[in-house]
Amino acid sequence: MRSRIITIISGHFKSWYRSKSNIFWTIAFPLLLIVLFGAIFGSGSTKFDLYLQNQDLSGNVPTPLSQGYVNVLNQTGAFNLHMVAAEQPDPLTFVKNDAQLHNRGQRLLVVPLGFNATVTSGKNATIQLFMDQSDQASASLRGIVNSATVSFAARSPRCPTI
Amino acid sequence: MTDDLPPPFPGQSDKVVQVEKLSKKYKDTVAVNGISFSLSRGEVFAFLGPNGAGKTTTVEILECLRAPTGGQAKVLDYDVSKRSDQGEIRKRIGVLPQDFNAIDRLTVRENINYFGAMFDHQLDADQLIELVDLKDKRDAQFKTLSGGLKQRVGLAVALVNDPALVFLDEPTTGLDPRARRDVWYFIERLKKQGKTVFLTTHYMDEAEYLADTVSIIDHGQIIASGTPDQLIDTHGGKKTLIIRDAGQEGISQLPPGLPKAELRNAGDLAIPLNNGELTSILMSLAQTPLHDKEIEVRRPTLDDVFLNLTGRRVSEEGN
Repeated sequence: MRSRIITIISGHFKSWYRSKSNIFWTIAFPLLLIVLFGAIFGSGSTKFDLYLQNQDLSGNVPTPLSQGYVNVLNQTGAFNLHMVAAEQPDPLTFVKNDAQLHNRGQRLLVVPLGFNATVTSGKNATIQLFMDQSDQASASLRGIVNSATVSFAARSPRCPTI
Repeated sequence: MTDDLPPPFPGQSDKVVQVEKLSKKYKDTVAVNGISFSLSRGEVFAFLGPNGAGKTTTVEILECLRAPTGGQAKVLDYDVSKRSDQGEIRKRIGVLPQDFNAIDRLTVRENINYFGAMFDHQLDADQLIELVDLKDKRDAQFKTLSGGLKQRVGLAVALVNDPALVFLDEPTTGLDPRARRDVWYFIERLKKQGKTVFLTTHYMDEAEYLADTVSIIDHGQIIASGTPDQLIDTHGGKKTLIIRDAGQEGISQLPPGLPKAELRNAGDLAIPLNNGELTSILMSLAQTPLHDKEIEVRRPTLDDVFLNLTGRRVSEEGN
């Protein structure tokens, strides 16, 4: 019985691969499409734009933990991080204007002043994520920020929450 | 290669096929309506009828492809309705279906071996290729063959398990006259090898030429059975004497006392002929101005048998 099934499969396969057009349409053509459309549309970045304001500075230098958190976000490779100066009094308005100017997504993550101290003291620190309601990428973006935060928290004494 | 195949006949019966009151109903049509017939070993049996008469349905029941809705059918003494018997039947029959198709891009030889591999016992592919005269096409891909050659591959495939009984379902439909003759020739060869052949056809001449026994089927019922000669004698009507090119005036020149002559195409005179009358008619014709005309006797054919039995010709059914 098994040898018959093998005969059927190998017979039809033989017949299939003897046709050059079969091989072209099933193997070469899809590859060609991938390469072709990849070349046409593949130039755009697939990373998410994310503005980041780190307010937790000590003497103009980010505190170790807040810098660590930013590094974790960077390592995910999922974001194009755009730093917002800590002195910026109204980061939301700034991001709105700047994002429109560069045609980027309007998303802002704020690491508050005292982040380092709160986490070191063993309390829950809070970071803020602002997003446009209509942003279609918001769910996946939120997910990535979440998992990056969790992985950062695993290495720190206390869990920061969004 | 077939040395340890069990004997095809577990019983002692000489009947290869026995069918009794077989019927097959589909939703609201009756395809086969209580037919009975039997085939003896070594016989070529022709199932003759127009399209849609129930030929293929009957054959497919005997091949265990369809279940009958009534009656009984035995093939090689196995019951087609019993599951355990169906496998035994399939091992021992060869089938050329109506629309035979092999794998397009396999060669003739590969195709025969492909189908052969489905059986426990397989005849040698080269032997079969020789049998159907395809030696020079052995390594040609199936799709490159003409219709007639494809049909020959089908015949070889039908024989690949060295069957005791071969079903050929309309083997020459769609072939040109030359290819038909070839297929006839191979069927005759099968007969010489002692195979029993179950042939379905809607060609009257094919049945007349090949068959030992003919059953004529129409609307799911067998309307006549017998040897072609018997059928023609019983149902074919009278022979016809034809006087070529006699024309209208020829009718008046005929000797008196003859049955009414009929003028046919191109001025031929047709006179119905009773058995034993031929010599005396010819002698009296010799005395008339028609004595130098071309004269022939036309024997009724199975076509006439069908016409007389059903009131229409097979070919009128439209293919």
